Amino acid sequence: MKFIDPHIHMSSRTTDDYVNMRESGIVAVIEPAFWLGQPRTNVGSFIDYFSSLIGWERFRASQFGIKHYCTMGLNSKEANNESLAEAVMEILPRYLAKEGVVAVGEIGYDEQSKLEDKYYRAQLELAKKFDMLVMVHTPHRDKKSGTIRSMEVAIEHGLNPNKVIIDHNNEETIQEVLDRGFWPAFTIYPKTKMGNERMVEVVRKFGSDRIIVDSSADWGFSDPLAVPKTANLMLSKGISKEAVEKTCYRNAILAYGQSGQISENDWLETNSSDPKNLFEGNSVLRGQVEPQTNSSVIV
Amino acid sequence: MQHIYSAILEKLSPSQKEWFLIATEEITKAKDDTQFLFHFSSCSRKLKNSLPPFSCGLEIPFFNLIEITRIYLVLLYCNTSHKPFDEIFPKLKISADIQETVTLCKGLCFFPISENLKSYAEEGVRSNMKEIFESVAHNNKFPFLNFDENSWNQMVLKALFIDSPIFLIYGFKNRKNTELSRMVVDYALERIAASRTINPELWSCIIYTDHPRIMAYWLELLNHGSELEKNAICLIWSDPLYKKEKRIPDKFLKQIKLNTWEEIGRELDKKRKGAG
Repeated sequence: MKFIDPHIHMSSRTTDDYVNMRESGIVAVIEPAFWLGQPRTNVGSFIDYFSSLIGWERFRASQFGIKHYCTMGLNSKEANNESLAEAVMEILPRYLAKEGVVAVGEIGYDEQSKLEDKYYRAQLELAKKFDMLVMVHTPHRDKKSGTIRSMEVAIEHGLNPNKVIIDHNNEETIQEVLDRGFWPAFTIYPKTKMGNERMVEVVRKFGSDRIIVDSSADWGFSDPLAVPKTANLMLSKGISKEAVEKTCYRNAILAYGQSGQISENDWLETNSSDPKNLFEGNSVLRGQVEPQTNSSVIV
Repeated sequence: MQHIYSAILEKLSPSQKEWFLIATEEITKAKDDTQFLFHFSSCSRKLKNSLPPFSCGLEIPFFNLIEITRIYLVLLYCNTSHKPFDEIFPKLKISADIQETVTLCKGLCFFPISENLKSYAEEGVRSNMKEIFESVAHNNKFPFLNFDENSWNQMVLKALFIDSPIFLIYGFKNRKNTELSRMVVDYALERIAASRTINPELWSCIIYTDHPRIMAYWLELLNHGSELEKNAICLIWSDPLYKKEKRIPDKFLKQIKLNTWEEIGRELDKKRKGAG
């Protein structure tokens, strides 16, 4: 079975993760631009980070047979530094136009402050202007009202709910998201929040239409194999293979495929790990690992 | 510039042409860099599924439609904004993705030469992304015309390290030098000491060596190497620089089937691609 992890911060992960992900059947990832833990102090740090998402990290992923896409945006935490946020907004449009950028994101609310609201709205306007999808990060605190607010503001700015993915849902928010016509995504965390046992029950209760599973794996406790592990658990708990395929693969393509920047053909028609890109002595593989191909199936 | 413009227009579909004309008009009238930078990046979205590389009347015909359009937009913006290229280029390069970087590297000879541009080309050669390295090193006049000997030699040596073809380096034959020859001999000795194979194209970088370990290795390859290895050793060792007792034993000369390094390079490249 093939999987997509449509929300994972690979810049924070190791090469072993890439190897394990590929061996577990992950063929593509979407890496949203996000907060790096250490607050950035100048726009140059954003420029280098954004450039790495469309440059080095994409290349690194390709060496392990994984297609890498990304979203670009000013995250909610750093939206609270106004002078920095202004500078980021100035450079953002040029990154939104890059190849393989599937959405504006992850944007939204953290503390639901005035500045977060200002830059969330400004980025929704950018998405509208450039006819792009939006990946919304919903707040961890005051989750339900923050999620509803995120959707209402998106609608207020004229966004089509079908072009907005609402991430980090739980049992309390999903119905509202589905009812409004947005795409609900679920982040599977190993220790807190949404665990994969709960995810199985969500799919059992709400079905598989429009629901997307991701890991949001980053520099904290998180699991880059959350998507295949959840799929495995769903299968063992009697969820149909079709439902597993939809939530762990197909729905992500349907949602993000609207951007025109990601298509199943990207990994079906080509070997995403092109051996011609491997460097003896210089690559991240350093000649130690055979080139990966898109042929293995684990689950 | 006009011939590039005409060549691009000829290749565009009606909807692509519509976008191109709007983009060029907006760039012409732009008050700041934003529109230009946006359209430069948008090329890959608007010109997807473009044609294979074509010549558009240029000496080195290795640009695809997206690449040549991007180069045209850069030249257009330089012309119409009256900004020095050195002011525009840093903004392009710091936010360039892989394909945009490849384009800028392939287009180096189109841009006004400056120290910044030389540094950019040298940085491209340092890249760990092979595609970017090869966009500077292969079929590109820029290093030939502008690299000093050290940068040139590092580029050639790196090509060997990463198994990238030597014969595609523009002007390679004309810039062979004794220092490169020494570096490559040292590299070959390292490989021999580590019992690792040597790319037959490596020998094309050596002007002359009579290092005993190298000559012993040549003899071993002539007896037990692959056809291409034997051919390559014959080619270097039959050079008139090798006199009398240093000369290749005559009995091996019949092993020459390919008479130039380019032919050997092409054969190797075929095998390399076949293996991929």
